[in-house]
Amino acid sequence: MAEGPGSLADLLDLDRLASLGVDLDGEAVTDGSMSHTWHEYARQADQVAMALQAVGVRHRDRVAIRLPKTAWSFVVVHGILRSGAVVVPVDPLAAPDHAASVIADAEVSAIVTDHRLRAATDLVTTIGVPVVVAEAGTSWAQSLHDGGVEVAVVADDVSASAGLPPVSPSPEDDAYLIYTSGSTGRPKGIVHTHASALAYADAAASHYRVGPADRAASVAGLHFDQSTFELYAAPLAGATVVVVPDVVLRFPASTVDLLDREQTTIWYTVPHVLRQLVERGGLDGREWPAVRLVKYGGESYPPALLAELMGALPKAVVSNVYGPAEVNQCTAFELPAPPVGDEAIPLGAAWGAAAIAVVDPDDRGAEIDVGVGELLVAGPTMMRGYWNRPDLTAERIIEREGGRWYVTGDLVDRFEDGTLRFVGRSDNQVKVRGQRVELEAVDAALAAAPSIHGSGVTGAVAVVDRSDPAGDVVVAVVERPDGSTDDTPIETTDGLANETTDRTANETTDRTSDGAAGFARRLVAELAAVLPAAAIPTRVVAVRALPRTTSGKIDRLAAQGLVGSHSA
Amino acid sequence: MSLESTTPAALDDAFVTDLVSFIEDEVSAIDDPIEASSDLLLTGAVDSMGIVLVVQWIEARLGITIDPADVVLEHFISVDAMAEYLRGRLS
Repeated sequence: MAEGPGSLADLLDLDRLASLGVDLDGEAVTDGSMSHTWHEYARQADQVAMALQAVGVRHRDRVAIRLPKTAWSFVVVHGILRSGAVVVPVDPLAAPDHAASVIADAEVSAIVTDHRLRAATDLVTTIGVPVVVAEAGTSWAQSLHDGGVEVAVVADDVSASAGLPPVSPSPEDDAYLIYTSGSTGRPKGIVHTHASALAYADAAASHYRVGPADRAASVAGLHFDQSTFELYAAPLAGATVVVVPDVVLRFPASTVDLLDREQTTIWYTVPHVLRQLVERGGLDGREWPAVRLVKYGGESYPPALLAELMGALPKAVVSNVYGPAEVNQCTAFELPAPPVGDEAIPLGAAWGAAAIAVVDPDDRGAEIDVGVGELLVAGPTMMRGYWNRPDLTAERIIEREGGRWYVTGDLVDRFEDGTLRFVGRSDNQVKVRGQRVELEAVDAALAAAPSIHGSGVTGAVAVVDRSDPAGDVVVAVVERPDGSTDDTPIETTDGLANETTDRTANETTDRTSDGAAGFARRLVAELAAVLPAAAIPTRVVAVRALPRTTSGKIDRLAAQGLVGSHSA
Repeated sequence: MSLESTTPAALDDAFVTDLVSFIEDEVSAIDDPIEASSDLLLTGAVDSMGIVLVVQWIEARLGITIDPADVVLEHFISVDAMAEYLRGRLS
């Protein structure tokens, strides 16, 4: 292999790409309507970099990108890197307040956006930093003043990139920030350096044998860490990226069509999205000769549904990816065959770029060879720390045996062969009448419950209701978009759960044969057959839409809020 | 809720007005007023769950079933686009 890039700013270096055998006039990035060759990708990224420099952005400054997800947004990310600045992706669909809090926390020097988003929200004048309006297809313009802020407009002009002063970030410079919402509501920025980002890109490209013949579908938003595979690992390996625009992603049938038409070879997303493609996108009605690899992560995949997906993609290797954004990825498990039965899919073993340790949460020096413990990760893909939060960084990155280890907060079960199975978040371990209950175990039982299927339920999650003075109890929140109710959650106190426990039976107000109560009673009975008594939900709350994070995962804390606000 | 008692078929001005109101009142997560021609997707007014709700509303109102394969961006980008798609389907 040719000499590796020194920083993410070198990923679009055309000489390096040519040495990999990449056709520089071939497609580098497309979103189905707009497409850029490698020449265009590199040239336009340089023009974005020049526009940033024109408004005063310097090496190591942070620059926010708030753009709809298209091929052009990929150009802009690389433009920010080419200027020597640090990329801060902001969800273009997030509420303006959230966007503003991320932008303020990151102390950005400029915001790259488009005319529409700029007009829709007045983030810029309130924050008072330069804005770069970057849209493909307009003509290059100089920087100008508008409403007290500096504005530069960027577009493709073949002659305009000649003057970019060389900026060579060092491997230890910050490269990008990924914000997570954080359970207290204050956003926290995960800082990756050029070295940690490249270590991930290199590990991913080699583990999955990514090469110039690949066409990797980009499904995750740029503010979600899964996108670092397409943003950085793909160009590192000379692979083409097929961007699924965020508007297309809302339509499973449109998404399936784009993935097929663009002959994608690699998919990487969350189970929620893949399930939509199967259930509503018509995925199983097509051939998929080109798809060779499907990676999923972020949440567990109910085995029966994964088997269905694999049945529709017989030629694809399916890989369960595990890793918090703080380390990008640390394990991989390639399924040898479609799963049979209800047993959760393993996380696999540590991949090449990670060292792992399973420890006693109360004594992190004590390693657990076989059994359940807290997972620690070390390796070159680890973040530098949280942005401006030395307190949080010190909590999560610990010194151990002379190295830096990231404390994942995840409980895993280590088997004799070294493979791991996910048990739960240590914060999701709740105590019900003195018994330890993993809410994820209840989630899995919910997903497998026969009543859930064919009843119009599109999602379910277990939460803990802490409002009961008698003690914490588990509550199941199910999503029934068919509107069998109005917007108010129907809440069904069910006697069965109480009968299996030693608690005094609550007033069971709703044991008649109406649909909601009957459904809840059946569901709880099914759960009672597979869960220990303490883990059986005492109530089933139906909502029309479960709260989800911007990446499509069910937001357990927000779901818990629905229950708390409606408790008797 | 009187949706089920509505007689099927009528794809008239009231359909468009009612659908706009439904999206504004029940679906949209943003404050901006919505018109039949508004792009519902770029603005985030209708997210993926919102699309499910809109499809269900249309199915109940018109007494039809919409094939998931027809639930594509071009047909649902605006209320006008939905009406045009439905006119083609019902004719």
